[in-house]
Amino acid sequence: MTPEIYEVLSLAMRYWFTLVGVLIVWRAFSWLRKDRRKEHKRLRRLPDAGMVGEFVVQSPGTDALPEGTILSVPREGVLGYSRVNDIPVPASGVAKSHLDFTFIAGQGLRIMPRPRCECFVDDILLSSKKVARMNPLGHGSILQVGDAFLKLHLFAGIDAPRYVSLAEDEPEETPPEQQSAPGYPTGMPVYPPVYPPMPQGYQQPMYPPMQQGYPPVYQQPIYQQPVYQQPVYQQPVYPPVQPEMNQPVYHPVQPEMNQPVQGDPLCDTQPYEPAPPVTEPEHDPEAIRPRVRHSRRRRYAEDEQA
Amino acid sequence: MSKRKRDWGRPLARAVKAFYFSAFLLLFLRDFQWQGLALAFAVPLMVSLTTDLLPRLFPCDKLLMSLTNFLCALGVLVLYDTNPEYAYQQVINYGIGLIAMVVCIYLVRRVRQWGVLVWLMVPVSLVLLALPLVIGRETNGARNWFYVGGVSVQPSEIVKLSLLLVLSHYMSRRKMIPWLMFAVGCLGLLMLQKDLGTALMYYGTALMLYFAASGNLPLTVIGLGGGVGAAFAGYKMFAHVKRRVAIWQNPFADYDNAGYQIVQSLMAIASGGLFGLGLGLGSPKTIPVYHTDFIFAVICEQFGLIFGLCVLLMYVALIWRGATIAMSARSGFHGLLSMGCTLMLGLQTFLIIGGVIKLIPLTGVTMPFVSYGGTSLVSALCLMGLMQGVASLNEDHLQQDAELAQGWEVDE
Repeated sequence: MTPEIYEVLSLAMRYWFTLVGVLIVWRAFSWLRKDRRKEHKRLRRLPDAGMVGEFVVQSPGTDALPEGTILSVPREGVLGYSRVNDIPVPASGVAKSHLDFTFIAGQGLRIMPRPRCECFVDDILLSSKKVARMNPLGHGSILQVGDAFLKLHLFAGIDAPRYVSLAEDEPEETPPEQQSAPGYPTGMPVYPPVYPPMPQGYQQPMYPPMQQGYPPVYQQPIYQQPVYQQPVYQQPVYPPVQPEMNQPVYHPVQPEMNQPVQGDPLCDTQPYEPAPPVTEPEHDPEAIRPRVRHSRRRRYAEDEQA
Repeated sequence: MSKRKRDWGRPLARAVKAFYFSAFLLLFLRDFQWQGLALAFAVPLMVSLTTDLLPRLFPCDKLLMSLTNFLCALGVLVLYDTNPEYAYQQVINYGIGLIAMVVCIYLVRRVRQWGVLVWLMVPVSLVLLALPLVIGRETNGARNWFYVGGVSVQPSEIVKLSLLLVLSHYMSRRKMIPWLMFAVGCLGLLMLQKDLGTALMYYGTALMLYFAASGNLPLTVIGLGGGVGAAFAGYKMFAHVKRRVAIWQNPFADYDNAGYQIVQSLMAIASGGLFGLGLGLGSPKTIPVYHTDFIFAVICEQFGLIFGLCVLLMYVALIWRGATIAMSARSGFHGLLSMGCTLMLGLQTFLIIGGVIKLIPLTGVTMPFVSYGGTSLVSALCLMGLMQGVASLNEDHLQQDAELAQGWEVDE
């Protein structure tokens, strides 16, 4: 290609390059704006995104921090009096930056108080780093900083134990789970019962040849709800009625046993008064309405227990 | 019929590929060298690999990827126009840099405990920075490089990455002494090398990152005052600093000697006008070090001021995106890492473009992604890899939030 033709082509192409450059920049900034709007929308929909739980201020509370105030807890940050902290706690006895916290999956919220700052976790003073490492906050734990008592509620789905683990080097103890026998409500003892192991040297006694049904196999007793049997009322035998006597009026048999039959001349001389009609208790909407979920994705383990 | 989700990355990637295909084709038509035609297909292919294939492996930020590819390919294009040998080397560096970027993304996603790595990085970085003083050669008054098997290595570009990791690690744990000692050690070694531009970059990044981490304005202002004092002391102590400041004040006073570089740069930018002289036209080689420090002047000469402004805005978009990624990070370390990469990138861009257009004195740093230089390009792509790693972690967290929120009532 001759230099002159190339020059003309190049001069024409420069407008194309400028146009594409401007298009790329315009597209890039549009994309940035779109993502910013999307982020705002997501934060409105999930304002708790990125948070692991929340602190609820317990009684007595303070003027600046009344009881029931909710403070969102991020994964890590600083708690202190100042507003620039991740969790501002305007209470007396709280330093400007009082403590650092970090959420550790599987353990809970680890608290590290700053120098010369005191705090308590479930009434345990975090006097050193070791003590602080051994006492992370779990769901339902209470953190005391200054005059403020903060109860931690972890969100559902957050990987944290229900019970607070003791130390990093100690094996994590899984608390004993109470299993319910079928048909029994939760909390009943475990069946069949677990017996201690036989001591060493113990020889099981010889039993007679096994017979059918021996050794007995423990069978879980079947609970049978007692069936109420309506008592049979036997009409008393009366002397033959004289034709001139007024025939007594026999009233229907009352369902209560051992209760005087109203209207029976031999049992009661008071006039018969019909029993008041049985009315069902008042309908309580609050009692049967399903529990209203808290907003967004807050749900607490204690609700699960309830 | 459901509405298909709009993919913003695809049109952008297509525009980038179309730009470079047409540009390399034009250069091929100039002298009919087969390398030009090969690059017309190879560069768009590399753009495709990173913008289409890589997001399938990790949830990447496509905007960052597209802009980074555009800037890297722009450097290859301009170098091919001026000196094809540089362009071939730059393509190789570009390939190595992309692999390094993927490695950095993988590291950020996988590594949970950075403590051990940081402990290793500190002594290794200080040793690397000390090597040019021992085995390096002095070039243009600075001893920045050393040679390994004929390949020049600039250790300050590699140490840049470890500086960010060390600063982020210790600042996120609120331990001031370790990172301060490391930063002071690096600055001292850079001062001995007389690489004042890089020292300024390190100092500025550390100071701004400290402010981002702590919010301590008084101490930051004191640090800024200390930096200004150090700059003044450098002006008094180093003769070449005095010379550079004098050239910056009036380059036309000595335009054929000391001020020749900056005068040629200004003349090239002015010659380009709004739309440029045209790709392959003009005389970019009259600018000294056109392939490294003054490549922006070559871009403005060939493509025009509007295009030069677009390049500048692309850097602004990169910085904006990096800051957004930093603010969306869920852990302090990742947030500071992304912010540090963004600050480093932004400061480096400001220093070089400001020097080229005579806004500030020339400092001798390279233009990220665009300038010729293996270590420079690879380290810039590694910075991008660190940012992409944090962005991909953010995406994972967003997915988890969406899963946790499924089935829950939402208060409107």
